[in-house]
Amino acid sequence: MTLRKKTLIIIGAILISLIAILYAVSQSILMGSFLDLEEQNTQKNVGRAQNALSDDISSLVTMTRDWGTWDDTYNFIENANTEYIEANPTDETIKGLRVNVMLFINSSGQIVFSKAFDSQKEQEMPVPQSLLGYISPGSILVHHPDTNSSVNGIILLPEGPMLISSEPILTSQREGPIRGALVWGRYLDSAEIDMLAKTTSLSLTVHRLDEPQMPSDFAAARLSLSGDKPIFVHPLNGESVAGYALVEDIYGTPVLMLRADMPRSIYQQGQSSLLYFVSLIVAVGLVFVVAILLLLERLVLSPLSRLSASVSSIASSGDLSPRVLMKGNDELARLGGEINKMLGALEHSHEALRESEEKFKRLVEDMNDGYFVVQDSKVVFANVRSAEMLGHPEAEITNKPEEGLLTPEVIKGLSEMQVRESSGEAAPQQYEMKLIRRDSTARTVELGARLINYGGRPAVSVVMRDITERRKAEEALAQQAQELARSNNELSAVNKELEAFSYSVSHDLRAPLRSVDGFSKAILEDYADKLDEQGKDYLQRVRAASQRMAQLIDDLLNLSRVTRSDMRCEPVNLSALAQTIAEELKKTQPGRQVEFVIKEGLTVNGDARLLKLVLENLLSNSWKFTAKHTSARIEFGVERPDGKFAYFVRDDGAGFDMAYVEKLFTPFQRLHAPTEFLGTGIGLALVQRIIHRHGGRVWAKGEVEKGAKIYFTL
Amino acid sequence: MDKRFILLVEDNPDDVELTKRALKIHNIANEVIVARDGVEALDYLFATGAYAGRDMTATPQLILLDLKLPKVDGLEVLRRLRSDERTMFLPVVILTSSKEEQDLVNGYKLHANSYIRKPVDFNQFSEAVRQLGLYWLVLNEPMPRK
Repeated sequence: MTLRKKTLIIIGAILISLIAILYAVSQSILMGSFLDLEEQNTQKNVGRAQNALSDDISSLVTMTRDWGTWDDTYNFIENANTEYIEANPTDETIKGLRVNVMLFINSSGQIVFSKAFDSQKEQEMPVPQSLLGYISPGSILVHHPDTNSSVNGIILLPEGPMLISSEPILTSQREGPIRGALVWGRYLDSAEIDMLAKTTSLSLTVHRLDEPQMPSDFAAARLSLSGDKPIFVHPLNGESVAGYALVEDIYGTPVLMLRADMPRSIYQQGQSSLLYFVSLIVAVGLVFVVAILLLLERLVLSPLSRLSASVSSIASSGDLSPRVLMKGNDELARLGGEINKMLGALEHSHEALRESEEKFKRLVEDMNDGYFVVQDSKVVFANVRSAEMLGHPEAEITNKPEEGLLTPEVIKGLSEMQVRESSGEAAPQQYEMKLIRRDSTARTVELGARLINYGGRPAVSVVMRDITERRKAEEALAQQAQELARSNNELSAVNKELEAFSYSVSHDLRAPLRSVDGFSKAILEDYADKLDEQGKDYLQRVRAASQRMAQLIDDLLNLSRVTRSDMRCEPVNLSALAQTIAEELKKTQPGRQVEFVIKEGLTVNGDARLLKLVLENLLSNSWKFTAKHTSARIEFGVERPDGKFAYFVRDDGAGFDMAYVEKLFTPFQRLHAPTEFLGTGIGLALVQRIIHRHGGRVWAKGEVEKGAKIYFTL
Repeated sequence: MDKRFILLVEDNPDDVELTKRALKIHNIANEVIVARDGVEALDYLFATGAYAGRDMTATPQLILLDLKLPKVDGLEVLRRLRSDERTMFLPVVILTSSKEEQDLVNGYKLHANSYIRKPVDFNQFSEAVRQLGLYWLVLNEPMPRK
């Protein structure tokens, strides 16, 4: 449903219900009060009808009284003179008085004279018998207790209801004694009622209550009327309303019901007012709806459909460069701006996507590996390289079945992979196969397979790499590795031999030396008397040489052991080590004046045992070469000449000539004669090997008699 | 009285001579019985082979054991001594030219009581023998015999 239709329906529905509610509310409030008004008016009119009836009775009473209080009548009752009868109650008089019955009754209750007149036929008629039933001595119509007594009202006769008036017969001066009663009656017939209706301008109906068959509205009114509610109002139809009232007879008994009909002018006035009101509201509502719709159309709907049209034209064209045009500064214009922004971003990302797609397409097409996608046993995508590699005559294998392109093992592997991975199992993703190319050269290719989603369905993407050269290289490498293992074995055999050699050097070469030394000593002790001083000196030299040789052998073994031993790297506190060594050196020659300056907290990573050997050699060298000075200073510290830590041991001893610095680290090379300083010349060679095993560097600076400074890095 | 003798297991006659000389110099008069190889040492100790019938209760107060020996080497001799109830508590001092770490470790693993490297300098060797004799033959209380 369009927004336009929706708005129309919603506003229409709201308007209709509003009008309906308004109509219902005003109907109940407005019409209620109009009905009240109508009832009041009706009651008033009924009252008027009642008053008219009373006035009618009163006029009858006035006439009766006029005649009753008259000397002629007073006398007539006594003497019944015919002059009176001839002069007064003539037909003309009766007709003029509109009286139907005249009864002249004396004080004993006897009718002295009576006359009845049919006003319709305009002739005399007999006095109705039913009326005579009311005339008896003592009845209220006959007996007047005093001169002011007056009885009037209505009595119901079978012939019809009658207005009745009874006055005492008095003198013209209204004096008694009362000589009887004058009773006049007038039928309340249709003519009388018409006359009343004319006076009141109402449509009047009178109904007898003693009739068994009463019209239904009268019966309903009879039931509703009571002492508290003397007038009952009931609308007869849309045109007229009726008011009902009871009429009592002279005895106070309700005998008649009076109905006054009148047009429902108030009600109709109310109705039409209401109609005008509602019509006005409908008109206003319609104007409102039209205005709203026009506004909506102009401000929202038509710009919105323009916007929607331009967005959908952009969407259908697929070209993201156009922009929607929205003027103004309202929400829709802002929405247009946002859509343009979005279009810009979309265009940008579209462009990026296109570029990336282009890049990947180039990658796939230009790459040296074959790439293809297999779905439902068919190649659904392939790059040129894969066709080349698979040796297909056309450089295109798309839409070819995988049989004939791949080996049965690979086909089986790929289909099993789909099954196994879908059940959550791991499946091999690497395959290898041999291809015989058209030039009948054999190639080995490696296939890397992955499950992907291609066109919304599972497929296998395969990257195919020619690994012929790699295989060759691997084979060559394996061969080399084999050779290396063999030479390694040889090397370890050589190493074992070396170890055996070292062992026997240590054991076998020392034993003869021990004999040489031991027996030389034995000769010196046991045969001293047979030797001259020179002989003894020679034997001493033999002993010294053998001991020196033993030292050389030990040094040589140490050197080879340092090279062979395993290294265990751990943090080593060089400062603490140097301190310990310094203390030990001081103990060997407690008399010497040597100051050790050791920098605190130098910790490195290395083999503790080997680094201890380094410090031992360096510090004991310094100790040794400062022996000829009366006091000496030996320092262990660190410098950072090129950012790397360079540890050093410095002394102010004999030093050396920088010209021979290269000889310092060569095994058994010495810069001093043994007579000057003892030693085999192995110490610094040992230090150099250990430092080299730690991947460090060692070098020396020195000057004759100024001291030496040996640096090492780790 | 028991005979307080030393068993010297040594194949080098020079070293035997020098050891005996050093003992003599330091007035250690205990008898020195020499075994020239590992087999002889074991035969002597367990009274087998050439020494069959020897009184087994006569045990050396100290065994000086060289490691590099013909036939059965010193470490194997030590292993056999330590695995036999009769000889497991005999004091054995390894006296050898070797300073190889492996030899030291193996010697102590087989519960050698001491490890002495023979110095080349006879003065030092002699001093070592003196201290050995003093410690093991005089100061040390051996395991009581049954």
